Amino acid sequence: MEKKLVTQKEVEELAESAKLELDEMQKEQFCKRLNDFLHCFSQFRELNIAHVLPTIQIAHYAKHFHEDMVKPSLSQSEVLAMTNHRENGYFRVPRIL
Amino acid sequence: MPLNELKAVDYLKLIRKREISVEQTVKDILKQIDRLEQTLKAYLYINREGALQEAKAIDKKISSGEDIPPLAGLPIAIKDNICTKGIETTCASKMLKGFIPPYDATVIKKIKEAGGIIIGKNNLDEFAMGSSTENSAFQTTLNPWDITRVPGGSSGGSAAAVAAHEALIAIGTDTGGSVRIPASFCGIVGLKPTYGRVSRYGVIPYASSMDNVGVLGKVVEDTALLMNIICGYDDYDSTSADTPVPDFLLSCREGINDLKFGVPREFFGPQVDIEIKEKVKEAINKIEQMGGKLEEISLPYSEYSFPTYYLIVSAEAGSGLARFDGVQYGLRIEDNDNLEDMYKKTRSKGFGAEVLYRIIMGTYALSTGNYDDYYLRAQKVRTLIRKDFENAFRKVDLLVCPTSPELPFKKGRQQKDLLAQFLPDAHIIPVSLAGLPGLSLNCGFSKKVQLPIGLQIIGRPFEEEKVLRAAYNLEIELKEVNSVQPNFTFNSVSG
Repeated sequence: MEKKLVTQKEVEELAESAKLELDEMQKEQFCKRLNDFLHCFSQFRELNIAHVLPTIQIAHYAKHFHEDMVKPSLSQSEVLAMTNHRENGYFRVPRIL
Repeated sequence: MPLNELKAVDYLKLIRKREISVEQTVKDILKQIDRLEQTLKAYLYINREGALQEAKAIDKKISSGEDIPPLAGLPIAIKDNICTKGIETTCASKMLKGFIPPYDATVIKKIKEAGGIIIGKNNLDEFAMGSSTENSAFQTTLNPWDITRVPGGSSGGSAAAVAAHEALIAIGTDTGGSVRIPASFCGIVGLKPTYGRVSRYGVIPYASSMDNVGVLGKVVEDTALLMNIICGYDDYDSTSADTPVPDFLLSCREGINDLKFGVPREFFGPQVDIEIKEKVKEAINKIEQMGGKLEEISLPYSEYSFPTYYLIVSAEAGSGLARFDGVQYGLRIEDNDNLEDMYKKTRSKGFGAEVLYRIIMGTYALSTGNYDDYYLRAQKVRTLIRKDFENAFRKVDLLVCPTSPELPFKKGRQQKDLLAQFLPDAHIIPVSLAGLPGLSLNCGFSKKVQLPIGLQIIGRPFEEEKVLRAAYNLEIELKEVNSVQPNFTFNSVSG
């Protein structure tokens, strides 16, 4: 597999899609750390895995399907009590645009 | 002996015989916390009044001859990434400072129903991301054996509290060694059960495909005792296993003549500290003397564990931590232009540097053009690592190796070499990737500076009974070695 170099511009784009705002020092540090990590493990990148199936699920025994039943849950007031930003029974957020 | 120094199993017997009181025990624990906590910093919250009130209520029940549940009066410390109704749960992050959960995690519900008392909430690496507890947004926990060193992480607060007798027992979480590494560094017992054995409902996630709830105790029997309570199927966790739960406390006391132990050659290589290698080999000789059979085995793909683990956990963390957006709970930065701006400012101010980096790394691994090369590749290598263990467990019942290749390291250590940064986790991450049970037991101390050395016992899925049985028998053989305690001469030193 060809080695890639992550640029600071790409780190900015990653931050944008992860809804983060990084300062210049963080961008520089994270860029370096990411490149160090990606380039450190050449054997991992070259390992022949063409016929290996990915481990999508570790809990093979788990019950993934169940009846659609209403169960007891938190009340609206208990949920809204977790924030000060509430109004008329709703979460209040800043304007969208 | 001060009551806070008792083992949990002995304590519960004495309570039932009415030889000691729950209230006095809680007072002794609080006294020890008051004596050491200024330096040790193992707790983020101490449930002083609540614990004393509960203690008095249980004492009253006992004295009036009422039936009491199995853990009645047992003071337990809880890692602060597990939701406790009415008690602040921060994940050691500014993001959740002041967050009071409106519900108990299933594991807390079970402990409360069994009569356990929450003595406090323990420090951790922020969102459990780290191996030293230095990534906490609030404080760094120190190792009770040497306060210039870290207690391991991320359940470092829980391990330090148990080792320093600031709690009789603790609940932690283990994603990539976060129970076993601190248990090893603090000289106690730490058990990570099989993935799916203990419900994670109410545990704030780090990486869902590897997160586990575990137990940190002074002795093997204590961990078995708590396992009897916290294991079992939970409808609220879709990965919960509907598997019978044996009586771990009863079964761990049986012998080990029938067990065959595998010794993975990759975990005794040049990366392992020479003193650790020596002590673990001495313990393995004791296993053979007790009738356990030994066989050298190989886990060839374990060398790929680091990139595999870090790519998967970062991807899962990047996705899972999207829930922290300032809308429903936790931090919200008010000075914003609109919703998008609020998300960004809140998340950037709320998360610490390590968390931010792992989100960036996870976003990278999952992004278009990188998914196949990194995330999918890591998932495939995870299959190979799992198959290594499946092959090994066709030949043997259990595996034994050093928990960590290195001794507890100095706080503030800066590692320039990337591989050296990952070294403490080398023998535990493969176990996490395979979802297996693993236990760390103290098997001796280094000579130059007296520091604990942990031995890890790994079992097949849902065979914690064998892991605990081997550990219990070995612990008896190592009784003299493990009689050493931290000297706590640091109580007047400010950390």
